[in-house]
Amino acid sequence: MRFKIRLFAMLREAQGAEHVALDLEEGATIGAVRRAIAEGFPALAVHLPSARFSASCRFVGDDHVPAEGEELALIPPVSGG
Amino acid sequence: MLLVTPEAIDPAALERLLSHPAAGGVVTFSGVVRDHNEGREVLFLEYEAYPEMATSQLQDIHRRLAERWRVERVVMVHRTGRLAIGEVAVFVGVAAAHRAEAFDACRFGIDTIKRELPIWKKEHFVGGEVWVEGCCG
Repeated sequence: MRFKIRLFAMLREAQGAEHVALDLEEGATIGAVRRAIAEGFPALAVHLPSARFSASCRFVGDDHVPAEGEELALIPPVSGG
Repeated sequence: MLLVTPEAIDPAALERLLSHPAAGGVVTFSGVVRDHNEGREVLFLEYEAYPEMATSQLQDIHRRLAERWRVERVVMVHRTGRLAIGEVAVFVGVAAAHRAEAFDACRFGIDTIKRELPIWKKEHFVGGEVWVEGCCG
């Protein structure tokens, strides 16, 4: 399955893109997405330890299994306010 | 009112939305862009949001706040885009029967926004720019 992961702020600038795409097996977890980003996108890898994932606009843990077409995003430490 | 917006925030106008006959305590917090940070002279800030998620997170924060405190009115608004020194970046207002729950719920609102709202600020200062690494990754 193909996953598109939205990027914001320092991650968007580090990658030079508003999203990245990954091909993973069906049933892949967010943990697998995290590992695939670490291997495939060195500009993002450095930010991964401090970043959270969201799926359908909610924070999710590494055990979450995204559905096909579900909107994923990589959320670096927030700094609103 | 729960809102993420590029429009200027007017705290006085938002405070009027908190008016309620059963509310004996109204507490508001305005987060304002200041002219210095960590020894740097700040020129302006730029806020970027994940707008769809920021809106749903605000609703989630409001739901948790209303479960914990009995409140009559809640307003939480966060600004996006380029903000000058002195402009309001975030407003949280709570109206409740008594001051204790108004203070506590307002504090919960702003603290949770700072931890969980997917919004990022880039600080433009004399000599450079940096994404502020805020909180709780």
